Amino acid sequence: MRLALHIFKKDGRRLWREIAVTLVLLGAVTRLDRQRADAVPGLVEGWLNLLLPVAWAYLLAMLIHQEPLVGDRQFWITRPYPRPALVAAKALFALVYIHLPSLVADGAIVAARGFSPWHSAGAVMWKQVLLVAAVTLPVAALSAVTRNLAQFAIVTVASAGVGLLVLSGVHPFPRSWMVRTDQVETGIPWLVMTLAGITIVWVQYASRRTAASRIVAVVAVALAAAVFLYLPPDVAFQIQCQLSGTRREGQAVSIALGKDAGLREQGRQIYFPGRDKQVVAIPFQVVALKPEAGVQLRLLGLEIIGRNGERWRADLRPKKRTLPQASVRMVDRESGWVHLSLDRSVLERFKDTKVEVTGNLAVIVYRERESLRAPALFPARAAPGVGRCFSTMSEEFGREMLKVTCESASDLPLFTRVSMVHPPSAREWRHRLADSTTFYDRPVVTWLSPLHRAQTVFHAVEKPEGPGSQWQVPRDALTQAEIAVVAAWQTECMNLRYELRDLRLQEFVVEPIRP
Amino acid sequence: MIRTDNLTKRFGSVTAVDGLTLDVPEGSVFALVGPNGAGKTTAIKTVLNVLRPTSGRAEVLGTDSRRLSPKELACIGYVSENQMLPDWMPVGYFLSYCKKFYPTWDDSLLAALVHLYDLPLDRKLRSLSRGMRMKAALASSLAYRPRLIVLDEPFSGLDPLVRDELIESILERAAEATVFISSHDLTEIETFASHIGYLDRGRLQFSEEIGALLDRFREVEVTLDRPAEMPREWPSRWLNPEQSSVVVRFTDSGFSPDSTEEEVRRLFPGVREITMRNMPLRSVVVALSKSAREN
Repeated sequence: MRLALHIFKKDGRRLWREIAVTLVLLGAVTRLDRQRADAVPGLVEGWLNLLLPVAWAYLLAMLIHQEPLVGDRQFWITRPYPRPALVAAKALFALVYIHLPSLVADGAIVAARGFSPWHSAGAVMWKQVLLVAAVTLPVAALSAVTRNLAQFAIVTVASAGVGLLVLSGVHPFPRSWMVRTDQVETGIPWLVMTLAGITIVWVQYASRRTAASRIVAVVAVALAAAVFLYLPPDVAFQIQCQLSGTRREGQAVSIALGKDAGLREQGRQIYFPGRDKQVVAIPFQVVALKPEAGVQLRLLGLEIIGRNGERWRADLRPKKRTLPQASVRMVDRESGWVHLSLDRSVLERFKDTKVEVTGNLAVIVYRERESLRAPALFPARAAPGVGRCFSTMSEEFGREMLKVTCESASDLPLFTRVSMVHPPSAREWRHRLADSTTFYDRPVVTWLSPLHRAQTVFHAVEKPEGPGSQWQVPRDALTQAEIAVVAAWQTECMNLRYELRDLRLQEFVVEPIRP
Repeated sequence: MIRTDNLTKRFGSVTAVDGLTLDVPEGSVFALVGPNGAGKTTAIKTVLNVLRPTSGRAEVLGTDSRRLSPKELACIGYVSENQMLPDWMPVGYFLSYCKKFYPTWDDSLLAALVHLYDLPLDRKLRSLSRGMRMKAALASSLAYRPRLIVLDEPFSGLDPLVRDELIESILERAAEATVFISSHDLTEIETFASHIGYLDRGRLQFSEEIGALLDRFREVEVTLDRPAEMPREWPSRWLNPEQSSVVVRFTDSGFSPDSTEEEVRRLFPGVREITMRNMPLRSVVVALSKSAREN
């Protein structure tokens, strides 16, 4: 320990300028985070969320390279450095100058936003674990197999390039919004990378076997990318379901063909495929759903089978700028549509025959309970089961809107509903947290924040009209309107087989509005 | 102190050290010499576990080199011409930083070395001249009275004055330590080394005490009565033969006052004169090197 402290002090003396820069950046991001009254960060905070990890990475790389592990000319390798003391010194440095300040900053943000730091301790500590997995360990591992900062920077930029290339083939949003598997799809690759990182750091500090460590790094990256890109969604869902502790073997619900008169009009409004596509919207009904329960679905597979045995299988993999060939969408508690975006030639093939549409659905059953009811404009207050919520009026892109924002140190419940109710007219505008996204040409991911924030917006207009008018709120209704935040929690999840028989696809073709 | 057994180090298809078997006796000043690229630095780094041997083994202070721990490293002082020092450190801080790693650190010895080398304690290592950096490195490697001092080309590129200062300080330590030094400057090695090993293209050509080596090498010049052909029977220990008219020259690598003259007279008819001269170390090594290359 004496030597660990000795090395630690030496590193502190060497890197005090870099430490100061990271602390200043952390202070700035903390101040902005504490004051933020929106789920989306401002320009400076958005950039700081990118800059600070880069500054930490630079600091950590410099730290490891004070005693480089690659090469045979560095003075320390022929000196009596006990390896455990060296590792302890580096770990202590990361703890004292990165994780401890970050933890204190998180505590300050959480407390400033009205949460008890004590009750949020678990979530805040978990964020430090994620910080280790996302920054400290990868940077330490990469530094341990690179000769100097220049080599480290080149490998980092090259890796980022490869990463962007991999991501460029993937839909930019979570692959399914309501029925999430992205925690598994990204969690397993991170786990692989973390284990590889630990192995590399251990091997390098124990025996400096750089060639072997580099092989471990390359294999781990390839394996992680393969899992991220090719893990079948049904497998990911099964794992996610198992981890949630709500997996159900039998079927709690089933799916039947629905009969909805307003199908064509609504289908027009929600689907915008490419010019060479035909849209088929098949209504369905969720059968046997308990009265107090809600359901969310995600397609895991869809196949059209003609009478003569001819088959067409939908490609459900999300791709950049194109929607998958098939998807499901709930429109109310018990009904929804299966949407198909088909080449005209596919529709031609099944034109004169009845078909069966079959496949698997990921099903999540949840329950709801009203958590908060308040006037349309309300200051931050507790919403049990969700966190703390507040609303603000703002004007963006020339449009007036009421924003309802909820925040929590823990994950926000996925299905949290936010409704605006207007008692005099008995109208209700139903939204969910995080159901609306605005595109910004600046960084908006605040992954350094200890708080999870999400919001939904109600557009206020003089007079609702035109497509989408069902989501617009008359401005004069706001004075008497109330906001209800309804918490939801998952009770069951299952992999459901569905079969919709004797369909004539032509009957379900809708003409979408094209942009 | 150092013992290697068939030590081999390859980098891909290049064999840098090829079956090196060496014994550095305790208390000796052992010089590992050879031309540039002979494998001296690789051999030293492999011995000190900086590089992992491809095959064979090395033992340092009685410990397998692959298991050298801080305990053994605390008894070894290593200085290399191309060592990367923490350049940002002022000399004084560098020395006090090193001190904590060595239980046997001697402050008074360090003070004497700092005085001897005239080290500027407040200047950063990066701002020092090459000679000064080498002095700082040496001071940090001698102040704990190491049992084994390993020096890899320590005098390369230094001016004669600095070189003499360094040699002097090393020799002062040599009384209580074993010194293992690599160099291609044979003239200066001869002044203080007790043993020598000659490495060429990764292979050890010979290794022995310098006195014994110089005793068995002679430059022999034979003057004949009349021009004659070189004898068909040529002893293998006679290296690099040259002939011009009635004069034949060669290096005898197994000199013995009686047998060398007797053999010359037996092989050359009509010998008018035989001259046998002592050879400086440099000439011995050049002769060996030349012979090895020609063979």
